[in-house]
Amino acid sequence: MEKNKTRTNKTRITMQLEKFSYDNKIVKMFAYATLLWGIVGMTVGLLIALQLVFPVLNFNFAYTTFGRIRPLHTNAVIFAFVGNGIFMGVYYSLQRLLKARMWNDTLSKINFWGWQLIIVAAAVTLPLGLTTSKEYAELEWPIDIAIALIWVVFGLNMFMTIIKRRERHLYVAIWFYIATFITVAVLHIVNSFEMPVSLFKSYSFYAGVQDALVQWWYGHNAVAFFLTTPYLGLMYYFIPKIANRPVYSYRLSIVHFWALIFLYIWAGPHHLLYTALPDWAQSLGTVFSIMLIAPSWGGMINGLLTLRGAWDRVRENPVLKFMVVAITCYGMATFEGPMLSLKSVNAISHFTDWTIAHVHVGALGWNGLLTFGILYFLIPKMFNTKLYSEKLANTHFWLATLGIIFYALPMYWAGLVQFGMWRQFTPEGFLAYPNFLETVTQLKPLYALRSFGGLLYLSGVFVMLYNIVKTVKAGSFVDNEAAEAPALAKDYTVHAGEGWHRWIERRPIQMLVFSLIVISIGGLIEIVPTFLIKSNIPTIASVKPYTPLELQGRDIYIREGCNNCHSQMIRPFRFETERYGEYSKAGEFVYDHPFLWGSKRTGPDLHRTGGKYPDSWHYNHMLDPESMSAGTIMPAYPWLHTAELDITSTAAKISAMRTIGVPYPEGYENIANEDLAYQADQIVKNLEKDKIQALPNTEIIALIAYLQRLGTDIKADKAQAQK
Amino acid sequence: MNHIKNIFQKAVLSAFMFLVSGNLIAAETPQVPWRNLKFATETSTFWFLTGLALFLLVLIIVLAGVLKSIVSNKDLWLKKASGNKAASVIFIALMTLPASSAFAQAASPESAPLVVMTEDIFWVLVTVNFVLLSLLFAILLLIKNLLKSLKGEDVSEAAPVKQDIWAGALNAAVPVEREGEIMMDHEYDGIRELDNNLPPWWIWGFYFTIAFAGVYLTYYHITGKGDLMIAEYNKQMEEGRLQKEAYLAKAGAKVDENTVVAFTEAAQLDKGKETFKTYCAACHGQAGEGGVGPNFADEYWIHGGGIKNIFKTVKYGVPAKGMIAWEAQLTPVQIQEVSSYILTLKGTNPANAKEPQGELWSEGGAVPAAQPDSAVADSAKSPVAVNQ
Repeated sequence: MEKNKTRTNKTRITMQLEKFSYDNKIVKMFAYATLLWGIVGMTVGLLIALQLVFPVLNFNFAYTTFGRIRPLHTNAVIFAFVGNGIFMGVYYSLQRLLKARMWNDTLSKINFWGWQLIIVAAAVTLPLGLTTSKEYAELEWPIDIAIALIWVVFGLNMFMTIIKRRERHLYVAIWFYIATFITVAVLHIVNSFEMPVSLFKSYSFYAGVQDALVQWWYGHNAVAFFLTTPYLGLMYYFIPKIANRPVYSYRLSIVHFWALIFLYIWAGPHHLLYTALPDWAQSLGTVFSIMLIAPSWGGMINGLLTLRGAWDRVRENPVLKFMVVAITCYGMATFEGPMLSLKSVNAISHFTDWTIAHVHVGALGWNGLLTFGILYFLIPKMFNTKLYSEKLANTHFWLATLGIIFYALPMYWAGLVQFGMWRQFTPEGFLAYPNFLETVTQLKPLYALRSFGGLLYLSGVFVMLYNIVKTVKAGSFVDNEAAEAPALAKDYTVHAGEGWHRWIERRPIQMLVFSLIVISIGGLIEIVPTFLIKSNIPTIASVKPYTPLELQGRDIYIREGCNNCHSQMIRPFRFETERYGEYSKAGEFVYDHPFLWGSKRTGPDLHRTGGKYPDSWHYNHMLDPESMSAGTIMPAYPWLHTAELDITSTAAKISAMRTIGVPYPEGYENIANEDLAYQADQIVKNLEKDKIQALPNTEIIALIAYLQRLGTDIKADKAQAQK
Repeated sequence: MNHIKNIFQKAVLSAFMFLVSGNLIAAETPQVPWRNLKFATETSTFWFLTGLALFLLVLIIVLAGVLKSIVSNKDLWLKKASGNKAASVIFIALMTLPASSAFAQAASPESAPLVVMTEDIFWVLVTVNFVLLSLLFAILLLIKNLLKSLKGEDVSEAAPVKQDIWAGALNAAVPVEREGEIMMDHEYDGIRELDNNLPPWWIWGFYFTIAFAGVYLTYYHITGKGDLMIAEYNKQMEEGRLQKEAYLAKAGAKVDENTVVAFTEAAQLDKGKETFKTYCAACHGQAGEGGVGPNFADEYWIHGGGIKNIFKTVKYGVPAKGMIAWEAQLTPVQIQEVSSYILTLKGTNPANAKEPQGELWSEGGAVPAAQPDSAVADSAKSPVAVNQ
């Protein structure tokens, strides 16, 4: 102890203090963007919540139907709200933790404006129906490329700042930032491998089971490395800073950081339990999720126990209140997640609103409240003033907390009620609720209550907006905050008793590389075998590529976002096969680029819908769902009945599919439209029999062709076997 | 000793199996004592359990208020050196206060749509009550200790050994007062770090989950003892089949296309009529005049007339033409009733009757098409299935 003191004193004397400044302007820009997109994203969330109660709110308008704007909501809150929140927090804390201004102001600006442009592009393309259908990766390939570029700009700026730092060692927050940067880059690039058909249409490079595995490896780790690790980094900076308390345990930081990033990457398959994914991969997903409890809670413990000795302040300081409840929500969500990965629990929660409740405890609680806390801390600080009203901040806190409760509890209840109805059999051996719709109408009051929770939460954000506007008006902004620190000495002598981990804390490049290795292991072990080992996806001889018309219909299914409410994955449960037909097999999806298994059943599963209803049923049902099933909450799709199908794209689509492995014969693209026209005529004739006049070149015909094909290939196999 | 060990092993094993297997979703298994409890599915049970939960919540809220008033007496707490640890515990207790009061508000509107009381919900409610009860006891204990220490009987001094064990097992932390001893010598933008031990409960928890992973993978993929999903599914289906058979045998409701006879009594025909209106009328008309599906009021039948053929057509359907196989939704007796009712429609001459389809049928006369799915009439249309 004594020795150290003398050393620091000596350093102080010999070192010249360098004067520099922190870039606050970029932090302010990101803060405003966070606010703006938060409000936009949550408002869209409230709208889609209400659409489930009042289907009329779909407005009978293509661009505002649930299937198209649900991705808008998820993308807006994840990448726009939380994304800007990450940049805000990182740009503020990184400069201070490294005692250095951001390396390049221009890059900072490119990062900011590039990111906003991407968001705007998303807000335009998603309602237009330009989507890849892969959850949280819906944006089409040109935007994917833009995301990759901007992300690299961010990483470069961050890394150069780290290299030019005036602080020898990297604080734990920065470990998290580095791991976030490299992992998100890997996830995004691997999952976005796609084959462009046109400027705004592409097909996933992977098919069926493989696509599902890659997608949920990505999807799960988007939660892990976009919503969790960067926010843990922010927690490690802002909690000790605001509470003015030392971090509880440095040792715990080390252990939980490495354990967390290593284990997280494996957990993706828990999104695919009881699906056509091979059993071994499912089991890995389960056990790695269970092992994640402790590393996740390590972060919670370090956050909460840092407040030891400051609990009296938590009672008075609204900012700390936000932080404490945020961490508590993090703890709850990261315990619940592993529990949901157990087979027996997942059987209940999967496809129901339970999952929705779970993610919102994380998103509203952990991400939302932590972001609000940071905003309440940063804005007054950068504007050199006090928060306009602590009372309003308190009001916001209670609105947000109550909002979360009113959101989550009805959704948990809805999940349980619906599962209970799905699985119930009568003594005669029939489904007690054979009509799926019965199990949906039961949930309407709960959906209403959930919307109320969302409304509370959103109104809290408006209270915050007012408070922040008032604070900004009262203060004076400091663009460039002056700071000084000694430059980093050329050589560094390791002093005795120093922990081994200090070594890597001095070496950002090694930290980056080592993180990359640690996060790659799980992904490689799970994904590679499904590509290389044939037995993982047993082929079925009768499964054939889609006809040109079906392929076009499938793209309409994707455009309208049907997969947001309808799964195409019948799990091997008696209550599912009784309702939907034979359970889904891996071999049935080999030509599905992308896979369309879905993750939520707001409507029934569609995997075996082919041949279940006549063409006329689908025609009428899409025109006016109420006419075929009274009380449904499905929106109408009348534009499909008038819009002309674009068949100029057929050739390009067939060629693209062949390039990624679908065995269309060479040259088939040139005659594909003839087959398409013939099949369309057949459907039109079928409709005529039921006194429906339809034009063969309308989109609805293609969609009907696709729906009638769904899940029927395997039946042909059976017929063959019987012969 | 061995005996106890055995029981312990069995208990752990069965708890584990319950966790990992599809027990929760398997069809009712009568041999398991916690399944098929009669009272569990009664609505009154639901109200009782919900009421109990609400009552416990109110108690918790009141007691939490008491706790709060004790804690907020700052003068008392400043004097107590041990205040910090207690305060943090109390804070956590307080944090649950807003949550539980909101739950109380949320619970009553929520129950409004509830008409379905299932065993799953029963167990959820039981768990909720158990958790609430535990919370209540925890608060009571806390209040008791607080009052004791306020009276001057310092709890920590009274039972120092017990305290140490708990503190050791729970967090092994250096107390806030002595944290200078473990303060690291670095700081980042004013942030300092302590070097507290990893909490033992955390480490042991971590080890446990790792062990769980090992056991789980071994159980399912190395020993092969655990049922993977398809094996589990086959068992489920077999169980379902046996249950169904047992039920039908017991209820004396085993009717099939070979043994079926037409009902003639009004009561049964009325039931058949009701079934007809619910399931058949959409395609075959309210009065059986036909629509998307064929007319029932004439003497022509596509797949054969007479009770046996009609029963068969209803039961297995004609999937190629859109007629559903109703055996998945109607009991054999219901099919018998509705088929009998259909027979009574002959010659009723309903309005807007569809043209005759198929062949003229007379009992014992024309030979009906043997296969329900063989194409008979070219004019056959795809009837609309109303049901999902």
